[in-house]
Amino acid sequence: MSPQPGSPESAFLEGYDAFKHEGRFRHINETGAARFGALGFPAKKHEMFTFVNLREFLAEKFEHVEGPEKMPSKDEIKPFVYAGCENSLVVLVDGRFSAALSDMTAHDGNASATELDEGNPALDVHAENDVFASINALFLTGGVKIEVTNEGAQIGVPIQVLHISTAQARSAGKVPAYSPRIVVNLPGDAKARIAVKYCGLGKAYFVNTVTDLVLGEGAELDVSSVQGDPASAWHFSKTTARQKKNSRLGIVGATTGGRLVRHNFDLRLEGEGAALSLLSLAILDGAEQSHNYVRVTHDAPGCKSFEHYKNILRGRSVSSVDTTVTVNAGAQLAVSEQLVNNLMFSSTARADTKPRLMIRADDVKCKHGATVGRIDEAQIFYLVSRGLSEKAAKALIISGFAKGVLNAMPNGPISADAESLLLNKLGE
Amino acid sequence: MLEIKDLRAGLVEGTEILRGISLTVKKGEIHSIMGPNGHGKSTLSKILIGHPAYKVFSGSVLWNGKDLLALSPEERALEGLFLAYQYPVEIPGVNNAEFLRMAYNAKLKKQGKETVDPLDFEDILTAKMELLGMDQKFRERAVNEGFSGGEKKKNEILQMAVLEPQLAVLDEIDSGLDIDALRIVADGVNKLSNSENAVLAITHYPRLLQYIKPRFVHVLFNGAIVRSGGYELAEELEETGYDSYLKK
Ligand SMILES: Nc1ncnc2c1ncn2[C@@H]1O[C@H](COP(=O)(O)OP(=O)(O)OP(=O)(O)O)[C@@H](O)[C@H]1O
Ligand SMILES: [Mg+2]
Repeated sequence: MSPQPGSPESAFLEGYDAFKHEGRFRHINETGAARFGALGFPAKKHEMFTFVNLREFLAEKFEHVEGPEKMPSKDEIKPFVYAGCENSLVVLVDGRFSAALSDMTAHDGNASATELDEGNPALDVHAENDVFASINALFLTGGVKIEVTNEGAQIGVPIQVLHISTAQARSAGKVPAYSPRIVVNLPGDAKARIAVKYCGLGKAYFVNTVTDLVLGEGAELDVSSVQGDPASAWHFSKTTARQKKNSRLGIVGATTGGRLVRHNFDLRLEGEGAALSLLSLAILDGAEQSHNYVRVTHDAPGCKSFEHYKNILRGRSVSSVDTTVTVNAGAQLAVSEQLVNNLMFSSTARADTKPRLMIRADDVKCKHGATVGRIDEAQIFYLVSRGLSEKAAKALIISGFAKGVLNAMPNGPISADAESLLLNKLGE
Repeated sequence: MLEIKDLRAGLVEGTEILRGISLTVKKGEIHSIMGPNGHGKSTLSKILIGHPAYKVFSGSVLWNGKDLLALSPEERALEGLFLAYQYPVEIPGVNNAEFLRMAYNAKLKKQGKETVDPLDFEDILTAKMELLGMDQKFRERAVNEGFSGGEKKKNEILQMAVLEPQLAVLDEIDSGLDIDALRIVADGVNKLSNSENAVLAITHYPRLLQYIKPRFVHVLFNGAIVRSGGYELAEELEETGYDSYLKK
């Protein structure tokens, strides 16, 4: 099915025609193109984009870019590397994995980062249902596989995955678009922490990442993610997880906003006793948008999922949390919790929440809750009546609200980075 | 120190709750207010601290000779007025020790003194917690969040101990406390009271008063102080209840 000439889809496919596709990933690009053609950009009432306003995105002119014209030097990326992660570092520049800038020597061969192989099962996009993930496949030219090599290996030093966008457009008036692709693989009983950082050099760009997390039996993975793109950036991500028996996955995401940020999580608890927690904090201002679209599936008995989203909204910013937990037949003794707290600072900001449960098993413990409100006046007064100024009281309450999520990040440079990026945004 | 004269006050929208209260508290004194539920005890305490839900219609409150009502709640706190709330507010995410340090430093700053860093404050806090026989776990928890009723009350007393107010208004500090906790809290109040400060304790039970030995006991009934006496008045009320007032 070819899109209408002049439609946003046809503009994207025009880019695809110009894009060389003789490489290793050609068949993935073609499947991606077919999926993109079939899915198209969502119409107004699309179930996966209920709260997302794509109007400005669709009016923008993008050009797909395969890596930077010139890779930055090690010195140039140094300011973005977390202290302690110098030898535990995976760098992607403009969506392109750079083995030269990456360094995994801290792990003595117990963990590696290598060029993604086109046969990786995570790259099967025949059934892709997210149009942005199909765009990622459409323009895929490479990616990185991060792997813990041996069962039971404990990776002590966090692995930093650094996404840098140079935002250099090749043609005038176009916004560069990047399609990073990451696969993380933990074998049985392996343990690792990953710290993902997104940053860009000021101008507009569109970063459209797909990350697949694969956890073997008893594996434990913690992923902290700091989305620190500039306010002019478009940021889309899809994260999938497949968890085997007794594995544990913890994801903590901090979002500073951008023109439009949308995170899609497709998280599957496939083995008995697998556990998952997803914590998210967004601090938004101006006309920024941040959306979470989350699907958690309990496929086996005794699994646990915990989700907690916090959004702080100012100006005309917009956030949404659309999360569904599905407990499939046979996934007895499921425990799940979905919490959303929105703190509003302006009457023109907007926060939508849609937590849902779809339960096909009978022995489950599931709850969800959402709050939307301004800072509680009683809390402010309590602090003021102890001698704090109103401003100090508010700042303390807001940072307390944010820390509920940030404190779940590993201590040190990662949480400090998230804290300074996000909390600085609140300082007037 | 505190001179309340013919105070009429109530809700911002106009409902009158206090109908002409007069009360003087001097340095070094411990006063107690008793009275039936819903007759205005907490309202009085909130008026004193400047809670925005309440409004003064007439009368005056002098604080060390100055007009207390002209001060903002923040200034009142900085000048040494402290209210231990009947229902302390939970503030999720805000670290108790950090909050206390900020309040402590705000007060030092007001007094023109140098503020303390977190490490020095650790020691101050540890000492106060030991003085009150309090579990150190309160330090790292979020302000009142998930605290039991009694723990919240102890946390109010901890704040009082750290801030060393001139006048501490304790609104039912004894409700919800177990027997040991009541003794600890009362001991804390006793240890912290001296000839330079004063306590105004609102309570329903003579038990607290047995420990803190107020010099004056007042009965607040229908928005006014209808009787004042010594400690023996509390014992009398325990016998007779408020029936005689209700009948009037
Ligand atoms: N913010 C408010 N909004 C509405 N009514 C109020 C408010 N504050 C106080 N009142 C009313 O004013 C009256 C006095 O309340 P107050 O809390 O002062 O009583 P109290 O003497 O402290 O009672 P208790 O012994 O039960 O604590 C009550 O009838 C109460 O319902
Ligand atoms: Mg009361």
